[in-house]
Amino acid sequence: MVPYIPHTIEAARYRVKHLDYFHMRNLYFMMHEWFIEEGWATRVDYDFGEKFYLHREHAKRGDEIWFWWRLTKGAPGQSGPNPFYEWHLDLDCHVVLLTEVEVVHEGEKFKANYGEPEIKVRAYILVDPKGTWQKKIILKDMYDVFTKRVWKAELQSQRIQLYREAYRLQEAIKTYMKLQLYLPEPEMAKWYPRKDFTDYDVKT
Amino acid sequence: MRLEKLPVSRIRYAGIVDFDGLYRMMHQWFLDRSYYLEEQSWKYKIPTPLGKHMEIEWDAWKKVTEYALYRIHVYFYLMDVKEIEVVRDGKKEKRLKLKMNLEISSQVEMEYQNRVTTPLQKVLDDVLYKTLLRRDMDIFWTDHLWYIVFKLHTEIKKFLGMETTADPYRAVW
Repeated sequence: MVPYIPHTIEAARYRVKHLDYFHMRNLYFMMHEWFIEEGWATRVDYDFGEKFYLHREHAKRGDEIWFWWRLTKGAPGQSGPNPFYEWHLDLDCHVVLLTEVEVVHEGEKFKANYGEPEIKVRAYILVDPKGTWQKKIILKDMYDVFTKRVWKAELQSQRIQLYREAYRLQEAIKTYMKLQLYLPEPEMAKWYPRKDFTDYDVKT
Repeated sequence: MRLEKLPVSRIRYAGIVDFDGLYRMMHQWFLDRSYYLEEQSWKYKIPTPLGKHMEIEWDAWKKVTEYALYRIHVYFYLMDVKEIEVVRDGKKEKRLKLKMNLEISSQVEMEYQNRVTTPLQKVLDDVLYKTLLRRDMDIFWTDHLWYIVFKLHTEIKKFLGMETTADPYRAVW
């Protein structure tokens, strides 16, 4: 029997690549927190969709890290999640030339890293993920009419919402890496420490 | 068991705080409202030059009826914690300089005693829930719990001395 493959609509695809001094653990932590806050994951560790983690050590050229996150979220509906759509976000992170370095910030020594992280993100919507329409004889014929005509506007709206959410993640990563931003208020605005440990100013 | 989850409330605070006082205040708040409280975890992470990290989880619950139970989960994440001394009214006091992420999530649990086991009981429970109890769920239990959590949220903001401490719903429930 041929497995059911749901209809996929891609909302966003981008990558961020940067070579500099940064703090690997803080970057990992910041992205993990972002996904929890946006409802893509829970704080239960074994529920988190990290499908693959590889750490390859190399004394001369630096370490290499790969991790793949595959996260799912119910699409927002009028009262709770809409079961007809399912949001997916695939994040692949590849870090090369990763070495441990010591940096001095405000007179204190910190262990940090030097390397080139590359983060690839693909966000897409699965329409009718469980095949409740496609697997039934009468509904199967009506599926195209509904998705291409009746619910076309809603489908577009879902796509735009996911597109915005995916780009907010990009904004958070770029805020961490202190890259050029085009929105007036950066995502995760100065809450989590950035790559050079500058974050907030508390007057004592 | 059925769960009705409510939205998560978050407070982020960066600054100097009497964390001991906040901890006691929140603990007392739950006891005053007859909640059974458990501290599920207390994690202390190795300090960095920026300070130590701490993670605390509380689970509080209260039986409302034989069928419904309120559960409130509080999650503290304290980052870059450093102990400092401040002078207040001429006295030296210890305070924590930190960044705090506080999350309060809540849910109403129905049929929490797991009495429904057989298929017939499940059908009857389904009918009971969808006909008689659905209205209570929508306009009483979830609403009530939401305002309770909102009051805790406001108390924390008052303790931290935030600007937006007014509670427009103080007369509700």
